[in-house]
Amino acid sequence: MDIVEEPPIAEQKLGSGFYILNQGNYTAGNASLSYYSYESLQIKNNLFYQKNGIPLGDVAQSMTFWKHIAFIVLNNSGTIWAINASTGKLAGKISNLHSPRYVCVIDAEKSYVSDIYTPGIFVFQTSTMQPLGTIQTGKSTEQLVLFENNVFAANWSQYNQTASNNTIQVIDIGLDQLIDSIVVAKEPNSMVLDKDNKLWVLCSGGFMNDEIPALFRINPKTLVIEKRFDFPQIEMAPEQLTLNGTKDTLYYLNNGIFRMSIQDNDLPDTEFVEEGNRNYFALAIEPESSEVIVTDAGNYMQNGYVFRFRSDGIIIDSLKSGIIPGFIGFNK
Amino acid sequence: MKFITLQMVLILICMQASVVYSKAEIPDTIQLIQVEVRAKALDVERQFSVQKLDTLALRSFSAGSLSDLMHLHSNLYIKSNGPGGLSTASFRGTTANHTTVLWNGFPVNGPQLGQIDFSVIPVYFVDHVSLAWSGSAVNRPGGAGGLVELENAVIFNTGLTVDFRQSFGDFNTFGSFGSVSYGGKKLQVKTRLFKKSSENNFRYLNTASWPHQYMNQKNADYHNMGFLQEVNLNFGKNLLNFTSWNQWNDRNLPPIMTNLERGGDPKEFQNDRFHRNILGFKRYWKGGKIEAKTALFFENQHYFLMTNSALAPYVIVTRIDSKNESKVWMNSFVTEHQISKNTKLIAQMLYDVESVKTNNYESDQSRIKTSSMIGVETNINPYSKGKLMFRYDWINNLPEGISPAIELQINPKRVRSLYLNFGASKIFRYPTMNDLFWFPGGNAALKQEKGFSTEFGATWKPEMESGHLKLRFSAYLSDVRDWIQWRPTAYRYWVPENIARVFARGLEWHQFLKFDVYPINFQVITNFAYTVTTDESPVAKIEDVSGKQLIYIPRYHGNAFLYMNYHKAFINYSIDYTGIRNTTFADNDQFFTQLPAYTLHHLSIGYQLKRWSASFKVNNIFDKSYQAVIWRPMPGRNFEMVLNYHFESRNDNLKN
Repeated sequence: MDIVEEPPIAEQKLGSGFYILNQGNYTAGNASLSYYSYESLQIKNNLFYQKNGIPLGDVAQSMTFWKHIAFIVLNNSGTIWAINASTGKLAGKISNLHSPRYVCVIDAEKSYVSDIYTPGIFVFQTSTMQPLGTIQTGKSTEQLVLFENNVFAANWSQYNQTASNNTIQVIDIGLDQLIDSIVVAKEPNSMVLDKDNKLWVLCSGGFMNDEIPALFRINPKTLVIEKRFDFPQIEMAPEQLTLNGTKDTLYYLNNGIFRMSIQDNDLPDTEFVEEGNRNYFALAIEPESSEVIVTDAGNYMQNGYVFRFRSDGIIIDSLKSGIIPGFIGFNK
Repeated sequence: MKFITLQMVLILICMQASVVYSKAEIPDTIQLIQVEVRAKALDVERQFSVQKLDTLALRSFSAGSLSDLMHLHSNLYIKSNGPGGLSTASFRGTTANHTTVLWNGFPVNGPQLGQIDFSVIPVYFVDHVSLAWSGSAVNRPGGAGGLVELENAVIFNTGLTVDFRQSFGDFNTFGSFGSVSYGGKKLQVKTRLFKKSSENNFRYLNTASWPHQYMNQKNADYHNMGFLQEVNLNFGKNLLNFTSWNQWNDRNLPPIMTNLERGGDPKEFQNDRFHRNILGFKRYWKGGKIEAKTALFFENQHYFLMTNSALAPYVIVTRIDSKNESKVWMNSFVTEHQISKNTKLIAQMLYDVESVKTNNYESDQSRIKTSSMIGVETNINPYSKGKLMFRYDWINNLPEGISPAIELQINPKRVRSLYLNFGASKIFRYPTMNDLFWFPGGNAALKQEKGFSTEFGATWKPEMESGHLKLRFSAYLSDVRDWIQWRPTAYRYWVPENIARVFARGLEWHQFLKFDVYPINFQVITNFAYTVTTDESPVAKIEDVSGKQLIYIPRYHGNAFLYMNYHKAFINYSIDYTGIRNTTFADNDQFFTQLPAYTLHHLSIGYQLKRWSASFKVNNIFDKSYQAVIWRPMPGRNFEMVLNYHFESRNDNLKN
């Protein structure tokens, strides 16, 4: 489909749709924000630049939604932007971070930020974006999931550190302290919490194929691993674990798109949607329709694509986004 | 051993030819009174396929870098990260890796990256700069795009010459340059030294900050120094020379505009040291010469990045301490001989050993490059001449294939002021050591890039009563397959692959005009390049990038230089135009896909008083805000002053 020209009224609301965060190339400062509208069925690229007159930054990593705000994490710029999620207009920022990855909003008073290099979690006041301090973890952290009084932090990267990267750390949000950790497999890259409040953790096994990749089901109350699903080949690198709207079906990428019920006892043998000659990069399920949205990073140097599939795997459409579309965010 | 045998046969053919035809009535090329000996590996007449930069241009940039000179006085596109920052050259639609830079006949492109930073080469250390198209780059394999030749002149009988110049510029930029030389009948010795440093803290508008604001460039200071020693001995028809170029370059590396507020107190710098030494022997005889040279180049690069955690406790969380040492031993043996009044034979043998020691490879690496070339140059008739050459290469004693080159030059009988030239050659480039062995990502299975290149040129040099005019127009085309491209992978690191097929074509214009309108002398030089360079590989077609201009190569680039001289005063004005450049292969709807075109104006005025001269220069007169590389700021209007003292005993003696 054609790219929509930005309307002259800058404050026009974006309407129903989803964001695509395009990472851009490392040290090129060409990250960008796109928005897909369910009303026009078109994609607006360059949204952040058009709305705010400045570039998004260097390596856009993730988005987190809280009330009418979306926090956008710029990994290599060490910055978190806050935008009005309805308009894309800038609302605030935190800078001087090292290499932030994900924001986990606890409440209006507190949010956690993981960091790929720093062995700790940065804490800021959600409503004002003022720094509150750090929590020592001894390891770098990646995805964060809040459950009751704990935040679960995946220790994904082992870059420049000796600590092992095969654990999920448990942080008490009342104490802002590390209280426990669970050993899983190498490189836990994504986590979700299902309808039964079970924590699912997907591990790629290491980027040098050190271990068999595995999917874990963990009871977040007892911190006990209840199930482990080993992938059949060590060369596999599954990632992008996500859930449908009813939180009873898991989806992940392993070249193609795979899905399985949270009740299944085995990993699926065949993909739900084939990758073909695409380069699937980010995956998300629209919470209401269970529409499957997946991005294609192409050769990482040109516009990527966003593909929409019906919940039965039939393709709906494809649209061009920015360079390396790496995150899909729903303003719900 | 087959390849060595073949090389010896080639050399012997030339040696035999020299014996048979040594009685030919061909004037000797050696003169005893002030003679300048150009230190080319092959002293072949190539004036119509080579652009030699004007001496005046070199003089006006004597306190600057080769990057500044090439950008304003050639058709090369210089991609600069800012003053003192990495500057690389793109020749005729190819990349920096495809531009071989020769210093006195030996490539200074390091074996690891295969490219050179033009910003650290002081013009003061160079006497001649020439640009040659890829087919003319026959004296060294690997210049698939083209060749930049840097030469030091060997001049005897000049007596004592002393030169010193001091530059002062904005942003605490200081440069000190000095040379002492003595040229006798038998001996020429020259020592050159330089030291240049800058705080480089220029003010610029940061359009990536919220809100936009003026800032001073940070962590961009540099300190470079070095010396060049030349010793030349003239034993009649034998010449022995030793040249040593040593340099120490230290610079801090600034972040891009979008990353200025990154925490962790980043400390990032790069220190480069190199020591390049050449020992050469040349013997002339009637109608021929033989030249044997050996070179030993040491390069030592240290890249360092350290960051702390952004908040307490401030532990070190990133530490990259990349140390790269390379040693290259190169040997060149060339002979050429006039086998008849109209025909000359040329033969060449090269033997290079490259060694790299770095903590970025899994182990130390080395390779041997061997190359043989034989050629013939002949005057077909009084109006045309041709040249045919065949080169054969080996890597680690394994054959890499033959690469022929042909050139034809015509000077029509009815239009003697017009010169036409045509050339075609097979071109190739080996993977660099980093392409093969970088960890992780290096791909030891890479093949050489290969393709062909062709050029047509027309040069018009009409006779003028009181002036000199030269117009040159050329069209070129090159098609390189298995082009190596580093591409990101799902493994989170980049891997080089023989994936692209780059089709480069374009037009070039060069004009030189010198004339007098008494009492003022004028000189006008213009250059213009139109370059179309695209990836036409099957992969590019699938990825929908086929037909898109390669990144950071402008379609349009040009410059103009006007020089006026009145008695002891001079003024020069230069204009540089750089067209739109793609920064990625993304569609044009993205704000970052294309950098806008820009035009810069520079003015310099000066005055000479006996042995002293002074010049004052204004760069970027109209304070243009622009980016040569995305999110890399460039300085606005800035000033520079140069004081020069120059003494030549020979001139003084003549006056007396």
